[in-house]
Amino acid sequence: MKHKFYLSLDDNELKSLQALISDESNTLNNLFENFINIQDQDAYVKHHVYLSLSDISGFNIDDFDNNSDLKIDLGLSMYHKKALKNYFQKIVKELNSINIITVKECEGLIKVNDCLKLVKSKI
Amino acid sequence: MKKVIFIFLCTLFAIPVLSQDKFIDRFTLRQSFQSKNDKAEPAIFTFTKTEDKPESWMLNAAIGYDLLKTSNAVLSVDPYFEYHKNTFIDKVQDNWQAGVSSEWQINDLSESNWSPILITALKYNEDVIKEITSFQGNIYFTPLFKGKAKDIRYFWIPNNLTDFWNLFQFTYSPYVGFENENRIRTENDSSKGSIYRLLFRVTSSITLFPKNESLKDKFEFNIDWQYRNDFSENVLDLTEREHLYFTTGFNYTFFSSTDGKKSAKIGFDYTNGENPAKNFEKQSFCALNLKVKL
Repeated sequence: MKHKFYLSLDDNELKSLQALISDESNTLNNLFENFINIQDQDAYVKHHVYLSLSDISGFNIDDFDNNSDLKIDLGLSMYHKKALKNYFQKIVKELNSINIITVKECEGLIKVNDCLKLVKSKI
Repeated sequence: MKKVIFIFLCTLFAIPVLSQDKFIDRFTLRQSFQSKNDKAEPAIFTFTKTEDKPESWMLNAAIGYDLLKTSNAVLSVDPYFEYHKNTFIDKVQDNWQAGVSSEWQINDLSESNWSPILITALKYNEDVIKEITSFQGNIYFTPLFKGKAKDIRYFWIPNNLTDFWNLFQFTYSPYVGFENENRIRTENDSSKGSIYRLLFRVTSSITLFPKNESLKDKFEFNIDWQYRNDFSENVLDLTEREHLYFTTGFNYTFFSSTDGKKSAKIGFDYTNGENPAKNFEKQSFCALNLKVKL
């Protein structure tokens, strides 16, 4: 039977927990580090996707959320959506992935959440 | 003017969001690849057969295949085939063409404030009604700028969406370009020759109530105006140098899935003029349409 623990920690508490775990078990430490990396990667993707959408739309990143519609809420035309390829490709490359984001995939984006899913699917 | 009122079904392949790994996902079905509108219209088909009258049908469809899956540029190249037949109207249209179309955003918008967009096509064209076979080509240009947060002060910027308060969202796309038609086989010698045209086109879209949660993206009004001028030609039976084509439509979306990828709408469309690029002769007609996006 698997048990799940949900912890809410600040940066100092996180470091203390990481030090504690590293002393106890290599396996557990590796798992913990992997988890931390994934969490950071998600945050990285979200931050940079939001920056990209802000740059191409002219809106501040606080003006929209994951459910915002790219056309109605952010004012992006089909041509803007296609131009997102370059923005998102740079994020994927920064995360050391060689996967290609295609123009057609960007053409099909509808909401901000779709952008996050697309970039995450390539890393 | 002949008025035709009918209902037909339209389908558009859903474009995958997560990945484009499947072979089938790289196909696109739409109304035309002649020039890639900002708003790609779905393919349409309708068929009517009554007991005492001959069958009537209409098909406007184009299928293309995305060649550049691994390209690093904002460039799409699609070999395509499209067929346009309409027997509901006075001057029947029966035309098919096969070729390659491309669309290229020259500048990287993440590093530049604007980019020229070049839309080109090379195709083999068959006008079944006039029995004219030709090679055609076109190149169109439109500019793309970064968005301005839908600010009303920048409504004049092309391909830029602007909110006019809570009333409507407006955008327009201007195109300038050239077309050529080199006829290689004709029924009459007087139809032989080559035609070179200048094109100026403006498409516009107005979406009502963009800030109303329950009404946004429900009502849309579209306009497409095209002007062609034969600046050089050597075809004897051509009588007019200028060609105007105008189409407008009003749509009401009565169903939309939560992810926005599937929808059904009913619309009223009006067409007037001629489009030599699709062998659509000068005439006008109206249509009431049911449009389904799958």
